This record gives sequence, C-alpha cells and structure tokens, in this order.
Amino acid sequence: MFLLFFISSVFAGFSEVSFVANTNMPGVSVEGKSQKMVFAGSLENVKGATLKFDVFELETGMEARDKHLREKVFKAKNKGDAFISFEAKDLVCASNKCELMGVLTIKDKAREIKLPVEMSSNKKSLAGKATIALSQYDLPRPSFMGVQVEDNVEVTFKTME
Amino acid sequence: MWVGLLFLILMIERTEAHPTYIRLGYASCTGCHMSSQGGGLLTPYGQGIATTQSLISSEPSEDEGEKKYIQAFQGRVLRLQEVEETRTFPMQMDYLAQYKISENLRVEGILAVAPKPKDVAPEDAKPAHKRLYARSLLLSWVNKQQRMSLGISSLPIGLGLIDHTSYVRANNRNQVTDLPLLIKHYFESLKFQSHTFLYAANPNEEKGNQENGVGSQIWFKPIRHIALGFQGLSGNSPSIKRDLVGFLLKAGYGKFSYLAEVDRTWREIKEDKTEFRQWTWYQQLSFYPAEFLHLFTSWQGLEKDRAFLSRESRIALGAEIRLTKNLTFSFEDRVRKTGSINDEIKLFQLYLNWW
Repeated sequence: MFLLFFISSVFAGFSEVSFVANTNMPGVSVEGKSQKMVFAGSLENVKGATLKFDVFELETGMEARDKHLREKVFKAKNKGDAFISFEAKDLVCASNKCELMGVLTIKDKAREIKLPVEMSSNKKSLAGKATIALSQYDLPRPSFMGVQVEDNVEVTFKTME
Repeated sequence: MWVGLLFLILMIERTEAHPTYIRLGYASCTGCHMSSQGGGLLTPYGQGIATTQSLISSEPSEDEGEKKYIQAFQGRVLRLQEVEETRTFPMQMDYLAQYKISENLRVEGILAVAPKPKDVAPEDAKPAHKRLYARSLLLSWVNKQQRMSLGISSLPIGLGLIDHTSYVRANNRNQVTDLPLLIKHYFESLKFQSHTFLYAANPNEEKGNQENGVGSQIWFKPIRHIALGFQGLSGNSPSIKRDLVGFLLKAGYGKFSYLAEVDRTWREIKEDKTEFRQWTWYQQLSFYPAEFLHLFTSWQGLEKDRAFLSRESRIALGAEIRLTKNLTFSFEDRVRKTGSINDEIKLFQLYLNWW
C-alpha cells in the first residue's frame, strides 16, 4: 500500500528508510522500510550522488501487504519492474541543518524535491524526513477492505558511512 | 458427519483481540473489530487481515456492498491437563450479530452458552438452551472518532487479554462474569483513545455482587509502536466498595511485542469496615517468527494483604498457530506458584469462528 524511501548510503555502514502512511481509520497506519538501497556517491559531496532500490525490497511486516504494495501501487509483478531513485542536485547547509535538493523518481514519474536533512559534523551520517504525496507521482491511494491510505506519506531516513 | 465437521472448521475464523498488533502499527482495536474494546465481530478489514495471516492463507474478496446485518459464531474447545485430572470441554459458544439501523446507529449483541459447571452431575446439568444468556446487547451511535453506547456489556478496562483467568481480569472483575448495564463513550484519534463509562448493576447479577460505578481508560501513543494506558474505576456494591487504578503498556516492533498491566485495588467490606488492598500485574513477551505463528511467555502475579493475605504468581510459555483463517490452535504450559507450592497446568485450545 505505500511507500517510500530514499536517501541512504553507502559503501558500508548502516542505512534505513522507513515510511508511515496513515489511513481513513484512526487506529490504523501502515509502516514499512527498506534497507537495500544502492548508493553511488559520497556523503562528503552528495552532488550527483544517486540512490536506487527495487520496490520488491520494501517490507511492511505483512507479506500480503507487501504484495499489494508492489502489485496495486507500483504495478510490479516481478523484481526489476519498478524502481525508486533519487538523484542529489545540491546540499545547502547552515551548521548541521541542511536542505537537500534533487530529483525523486518513482517508476516513470520524476519530480524535483527539497527536504530538510541533518548532516553530522564529520559528514559520516545524514538523516531527514519528508512528506511525499502519492498523487504527485500518479500513484493510486491503495485501499483494502474499506481502509484507504491517505495521499501524504511520511518518509524518514538515516544513513551512516 | 466428518464432511460437516471439516466444513465447519474451514468456515470458521477466530476473532479475538490482538493487542500485540501494535507491532504492525495498529494502535487501537477499531480497525479490525466492530467493538471499540476489541474481540467479537470483525470489520471487513479485520476479516481481510485474518484471512491473509494464516498458515493456509488466501486473498480476501473485496465486497463493495455494505451489509446491514452481520453475524458470526465463535466456539472454543479447551483441554485442561492438571496433575489430578484431564478434562476436555466446550469453553465458549457464542452467536454474535450486529444490525446497522442507519449510517450512525447500530445495535449489536452476543448470545452465549455458559459452560457447564465442573462439579455438577450429568443428570443435574442444564441443557445448553437453558444456559443461554446475553453477554452483550448494545445500542451504539458511531461516527469516525466517537461512539456512544448504551446497554449490557463488560467494562472497557484492561489490556484485552483472551485469558479470563489471568489475575488482571479474574481478580479485577474485568470482563469475566460482570455484565453491567452501562453507558460508555469512546473517543479515538491518531495518538489518543479513551473509554469513559457509567455503570449500574445488571438485575441478573447476584444481590451481593450488584455493583454501580464509574470509570475510565485512556491510551496515549507518544511515539509509534508504544502506547501507554491509564485506567481508574470506582465501584460500589451492597457488600463491597472498591477503587481501582491501573497502568498499561503496549509496545512492539517487527516480530516482537510486549504487553504489561499493573492494577492496584482498594476494597472495603461494608459489614465490618475491613479494608484490604490488592495488586495484580501481568506482562507478556511475544515473538512472531512467521505471520501465523505466535510464541509467547507471560509472567503474572496477585497479592492481597490482611484478612485475605495471599500471594500467587504464574509463569507461562505458549504457542499459538493460526492454521487457516477459520481455525486457531494454541498450547500453553503454566506453572502457578502459591507460597511454596508449585502446580502445573497444560492448556490446549481450539478456536473456531464462522461468519
């Protein structure tokens, strides 16, 4: 049912992207994560760096939900059918608070986005949050037995080199 | 007959509360259950989740049409193995139904068959139809965030544990045999849920147990995957006055969850003004190696002071497997410690449900 991701790294280290999608039912939200993004670049100079992962690597804690996410949202039947990628264009920082700019591509739809991030002083870790609207990427708001995900999905990421 | 039994097993589905589902992002019961207290009838979404979370799972069919009348049957067979004896008996047989009068108004009820008392001779035992009683009968006004209900129901306190013999239920008169007349209000938002209720004695209750009172349970979710609960109740019966306060916790992430409840009760026996206090507590650690398999260990205790001085604790290890959407089997090995005496009980349970 939902998505998203992005940013992480890197040659070695820890990185995790998670998302939370609230629904029309107050007590029900859908959460998921991916720990298998491929990063090309460096946190020292993120300009031009790219991140990419297959939607088959998103996990929500329920197999059926993962399947619905892949098939109903991303229309992906097999691994390799749909990817999510981010290409960093610029990083503007004031102390450890930064703004990351780049192009987020979900399947075939690309949009420029800006998101607040925090970079560690040694430039070894980066963390941030963003809200992604499904409709802006021509993705359907998935529903299951009367419970429907809201358009805005909160995405959180952290990565350490 | 075997074909009929097989059909019944395949058509039946377990519908009980799963407070451990906070690990998957479910902070309250109303996503999956019609009742704000959990358990009982499932919503279409709850039916869908149950269908996909079984060893033999399937893809639920999305029914666009809205049903005015929904119903279910719940049954449970229990095999109790103690040192002295082993018994197998039907623990639960319930018929559940809900009728939607209008968009915001519904009436719902549970017709139950009380289990046969253990020590009654077969010739003296009442037949099933004479053991029927209304476990719940509620008229509810419902909107997206609030509900107001009036009727007969158990009090909305506690964690929502299945085990009615747990100290936090049995010793707090929590959803065991107490079915008062009540009016309750439920509120729910993303980070907050509350039940507030006023209750009066059910006329069918024994005279000495007829309790009137007021209470509230509040859940707060400060961060994802953790919910903190507080509850309070003040009750007054012809023989006893009691006040209860409790703290509850639900936490979980991924394949793990943790539940805890601690309650403190002050009681006064009116006849001789004797006062005594009681602690009950419960904690459970769960692990889900697969979606259909639940392994757990629990540790619970009871402590009463003065005239009723007693101290008991119980440690359990168990497993629960949802074989099909219709059938769940559970096993639990419990060791109860009373003073220096330990006794062991093994429970084998088969849960059936049909809608």
